[in-house]
Amino acid sequence: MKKTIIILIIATIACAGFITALRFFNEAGEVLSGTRFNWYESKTQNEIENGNKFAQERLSKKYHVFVNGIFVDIGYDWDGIIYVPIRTISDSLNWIVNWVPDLGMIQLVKDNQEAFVDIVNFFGKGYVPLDRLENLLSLDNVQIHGGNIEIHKGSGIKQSIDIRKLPRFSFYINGMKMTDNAVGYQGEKLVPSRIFALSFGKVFKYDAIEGHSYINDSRIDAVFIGGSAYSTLDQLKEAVNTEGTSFQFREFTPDTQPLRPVIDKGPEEKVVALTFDDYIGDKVYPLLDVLDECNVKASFFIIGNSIEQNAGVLEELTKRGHQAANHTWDHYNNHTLTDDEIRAQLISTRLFTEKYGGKSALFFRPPGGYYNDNMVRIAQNVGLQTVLWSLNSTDADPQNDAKHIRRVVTQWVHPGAIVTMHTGRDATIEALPGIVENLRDRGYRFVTISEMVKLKGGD
Amino acid sequence: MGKKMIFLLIGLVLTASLAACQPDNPPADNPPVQHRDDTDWKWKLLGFKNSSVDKVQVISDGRAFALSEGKLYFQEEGKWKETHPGVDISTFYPLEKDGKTTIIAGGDNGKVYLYPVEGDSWNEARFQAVPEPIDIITVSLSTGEIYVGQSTKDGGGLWRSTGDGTDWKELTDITVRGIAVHPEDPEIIYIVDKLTYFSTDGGKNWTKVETGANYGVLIHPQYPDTAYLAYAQGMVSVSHDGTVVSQQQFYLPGGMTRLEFSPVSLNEWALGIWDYPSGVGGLYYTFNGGGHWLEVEEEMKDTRILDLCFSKDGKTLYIGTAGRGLWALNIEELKKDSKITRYSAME
Repeated sequence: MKKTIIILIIATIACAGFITALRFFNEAGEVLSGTRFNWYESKTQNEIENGNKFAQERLSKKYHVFVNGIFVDIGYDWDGIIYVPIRTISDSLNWIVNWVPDLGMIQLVKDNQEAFVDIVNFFGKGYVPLDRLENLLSLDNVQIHGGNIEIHKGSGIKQSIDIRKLPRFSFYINGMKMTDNAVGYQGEKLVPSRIFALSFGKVFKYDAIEGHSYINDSRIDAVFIGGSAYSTLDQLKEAVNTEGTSFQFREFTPDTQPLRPVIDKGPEEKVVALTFDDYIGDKVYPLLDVLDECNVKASFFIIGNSIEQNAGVLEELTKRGHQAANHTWDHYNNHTLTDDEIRAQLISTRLFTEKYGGKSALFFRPPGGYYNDNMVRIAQNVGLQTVLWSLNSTDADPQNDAKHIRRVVTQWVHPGAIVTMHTGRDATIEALPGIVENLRDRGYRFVTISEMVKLKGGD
Repeated sequence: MGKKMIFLLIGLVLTASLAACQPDNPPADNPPVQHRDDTDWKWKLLGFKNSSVDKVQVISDGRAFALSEGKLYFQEEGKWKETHPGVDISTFYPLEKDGKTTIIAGGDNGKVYLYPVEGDSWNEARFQAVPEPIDIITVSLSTGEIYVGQSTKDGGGLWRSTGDGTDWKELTDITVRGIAVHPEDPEIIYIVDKLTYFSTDGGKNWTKVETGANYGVLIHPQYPDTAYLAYAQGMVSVSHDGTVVSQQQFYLPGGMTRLEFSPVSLNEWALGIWDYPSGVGGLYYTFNGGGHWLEVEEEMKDTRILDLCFSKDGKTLYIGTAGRGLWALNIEELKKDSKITRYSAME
């Protein structure tokens, strides 16, 4: 009997010890630095990893969509139903595509025709079932073979030149690789017109009915190679202001450079980097004021398409000593883009950041943390190092208030933490002073991503 | 000391262990399937275990009809009987009239077929739409008239039969994916496809409703003064002069696959939600008109809902699923359940 009692007493003490340790872990993440374990940091890493694995699985059954012979976008088989992007396809068939935010629907308008379409929204891109689109746009013919969907409407089917028969080049803008798919044709070097336009933040449209290509409504001359429009640099410069930009064709050679590491955490020192993602706009001003009051320099990962209309915000942001880095042009899930499209997303954002902010920090954060080694290499080709985060402040959820955000960050902070937050959130601005005060009291200092990389021994 | 102390210590150890193991956010509780006796059950798998059920309908005597992979099935003496008119069926409606039930089925070929359940043969109606699948068939509750709607890239329209499927009249060539007929006033008809239209003169004239909500249309059989137009994330209510009265967004994680009202309450709705890019979703239920949604996990967790149908007394919900068969859910048991996640509708 005595033996049993002793065993039970020992078990009780062990349990009490375990509970105390668990409480300690929960309430003071930084205490765990010695053990290199932080439950929330580990959870954050798992979320990013699992999200990527899941996205790659869901997007693995893909189809390249061609309208009258020209590539327009990528569709997917989800649960046995083929979904295709509505905007690009409808636009190429000259339907006006309006987003109706109240209903989360797309309105299609053409001549005296009108339709409303429920979409599936995936990172800002709207998808509809292929057969629904076939009805809505009264498509003449839809064929699915191999990994392609070929949509025909009217009589304007373009015949393309086989790209495999042409010499290939790599093409660079300001030293940033735009594509490995530039070609030599009839004594001239040509670049993909669409990717060039996107790299300068312009709108490219292929009118599949008339068979013409446009950049921001200016018609451009193009030849069609491998299902894409190609133009000479001179032809493209007529539609795009490229002043101050340098271009270079190089022989195509496989990229064998070693990959630079993905930064998801800083050194094991009491430093923290606050990072703010997404669009810039007027709501950034009060955020900058709070950061000034707290004497903190932060890093902003900016969505490129918000820069030009908010150039003053970007100028102010860099003037006050914060870093402006790259969060792609449109905030799409990168898994849904082609390699050249990802490059264009990064190049355009970098060009606009440098044009309106004077300089850009050479870091890239993939929207939603969706990335893989290929994207890390693509970013590297554009001169950018990939940065994730180790502490999700959870401010992206509009239901989380300032108190919740403050609790999450102060509870789970750890040495070298990269905290992800977002612009345009009142709750984030409200939470910041409390977060900064709490962490400073505990011996943390605030650094930018550049400073954190240097502390870690990087470039 | 003795046994009392030992039990006390055991209790202490167990309490401490449970407290230590309690995570911040407990994982969703997935109780085992609850098959109870005939009067006290929550879930019943009615059949088609690894197949999809595209449409389900239940008639007054409680018999269910299911459309699975182009074939129609109905319950006969506790078993499923398969039938089809020689072509794949795209939709159907069981018409109950004068104590008899006749299946009105739309074929993949744009034709309509009739099947008296008490008989055993299909008859082709004198009806021809575009040779593509018929999208919807419904029946006026007040007159028993049959309505057929079709939407294809080559056209479509709305047709009505006043004679049990023997004679047909085209009401409009506007393409149609959804139909609702006022349960008391058969002159009021709603149709939806690319846009939504209504008629107050039995289909002679059609007026556009100024909303983009065109996922589907419902009129509650007991509260017919309002039509409800669904869209992927919510619902718009419309009075019968075409005025949009209100709009309600559901704020659920995905888009709507199916919405159905309980026939006995305007506040009870069942809803299928699915997020195609992430491949998750399931069944949601509200008891207060969308003010709060209950995520009905268990058998419907991450299951794509294809169709929903209440029994006439509103006590059983029939659920057609993608690849997981046909289920029945006892609503009385659902009301007792506390293991459900609650979502609030945000204003």
